Amino acid sequence: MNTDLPIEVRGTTKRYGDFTLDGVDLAVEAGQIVGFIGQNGAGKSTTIKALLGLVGLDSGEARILGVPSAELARTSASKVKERVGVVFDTIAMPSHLTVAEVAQLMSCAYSTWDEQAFSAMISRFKLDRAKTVKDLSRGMGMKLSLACALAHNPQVLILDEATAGLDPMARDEVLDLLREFVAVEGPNGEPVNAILMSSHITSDLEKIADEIVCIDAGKIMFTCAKDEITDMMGVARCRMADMESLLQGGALGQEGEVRMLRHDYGIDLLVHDRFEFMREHPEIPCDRMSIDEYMTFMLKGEAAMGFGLPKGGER
Amino acid sequence: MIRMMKMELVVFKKYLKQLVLTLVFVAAGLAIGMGTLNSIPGTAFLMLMFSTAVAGAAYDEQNAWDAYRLVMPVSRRDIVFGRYAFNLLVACGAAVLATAFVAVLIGIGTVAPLPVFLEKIVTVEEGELAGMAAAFVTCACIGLVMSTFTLPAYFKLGQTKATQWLPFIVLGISIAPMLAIAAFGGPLLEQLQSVAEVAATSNGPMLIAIASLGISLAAYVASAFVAVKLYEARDM
Repeated sequence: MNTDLPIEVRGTTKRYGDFTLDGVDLAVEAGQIVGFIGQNGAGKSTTIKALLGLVGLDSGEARILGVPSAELARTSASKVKERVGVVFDTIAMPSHLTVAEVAQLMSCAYSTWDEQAFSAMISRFKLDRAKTVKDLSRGMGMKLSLACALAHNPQVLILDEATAGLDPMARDEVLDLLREFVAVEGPNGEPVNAILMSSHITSDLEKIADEIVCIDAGKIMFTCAKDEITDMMGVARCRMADMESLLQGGALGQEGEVRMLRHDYGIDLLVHDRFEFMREHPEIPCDRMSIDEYMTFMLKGEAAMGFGLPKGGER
Repeated sequence: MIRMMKMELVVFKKYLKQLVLTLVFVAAGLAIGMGTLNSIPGTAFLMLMFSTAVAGAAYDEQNAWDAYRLVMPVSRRDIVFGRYAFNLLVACGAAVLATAFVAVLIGIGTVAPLPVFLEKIVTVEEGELAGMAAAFVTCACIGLVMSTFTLPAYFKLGQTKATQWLPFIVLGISIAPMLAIAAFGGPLLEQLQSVAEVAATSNGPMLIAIASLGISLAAYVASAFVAVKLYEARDM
């Protein structure tokens, strides 16, 4: 394993009765934001828990800032945990605490707690210090969690559905904060901070992520640069006849390389270079690919070769 | 561990205030009902020991606070030892406060004329201080033994699951002495008889009190180490 990476998960396996996290690999480099996506119950939260040492591993290894997750539970790892900010998908605080008491609690926990930074963030988020956790809306609660995670000067942020429940404007505000966080440079101009962010809101990831990792049924389905998906790839909206001509022309490449999704009205085809495709097949509409669409292609699509076209180019 | 204890203090602050208020009412009820102040310090200890154990487990399960706390710079060992120490410290603090409260009442009774029924309550008669000490030791032993069994169960299972099992555990503890007598019969009764003989000597009660408190405290400390092992093996 590369101990220089802020976050690294290699071959992590965890078996439950009806679910197995199966040999998960992922890595986050300094200066990078990695979006972690997948359907409900796919294994995102379990991976994050394994990374944080909240669950024991059956095999494999997970490290944060070079420290194995199993050691994070020990007193000796306290210094490393000071440099890790975490936001869960709930406001993970006893509900009777006020925002001011949460700050007090965090100052007891973290020697690096920055009260001024926290105050600045709760002012920015318009959080009332006298309000209790149970009186906060989900969105306000997530803002509080984020303020807590950022106010102890972390080097690594691990966010589990941190933007869920936020209105679009608040989400943009949070994304700005995350951009600022990851843009922080060390004394020699090198990036120092990193973010692993699980989210169902892929439009957020399209705005800030550098890389996308998708998990399904406990297995990593793909790891791909976000720009490759959104800037290069495309969705060709094909009719049956178009597909037939593409197949006959050998335009679909090697078997299993290209994926497609069938619809009642035609077939959507995953295109790896939409500009080249549009040049070669100007008659076939080709749209920009979104992360959602790419995930759907990879999880629900089928290989484009030998898909059994109906005869006569039926549309 | 100190870090964890500070965090516990923030979490428990409001509840502790409520408990102190409740304790005032409980103490008044006990004093009037029993006609003596003897049991107040012991009751304060027992009440706090029991309440903090249950409330701590309840807070842990709120909003996955127990999981979030583990990503903070505290180890599982810190969390367990911190809670054991915090609960004991708070219970001892309550007992000290209650003793001070009792002393003030006794003091008032000696200098100010009071209605007859109040005067009877606050007047210390011969042997009452020994009675108060005996009541405290009994309550302290009960509190420590209860926590010895409940806290590891909470750390292993969490409050929801532990609550399902604790009645059986408490029942088991309650009938264990009878089962032990039934199983070991004669030799055990002989041992008990020798303890009773020690109790009949002039220093006997004090020796038995110190031994009981020592054994209970040792069990409480041992329980903390067991709870660490259980908590370290638990998936959150």
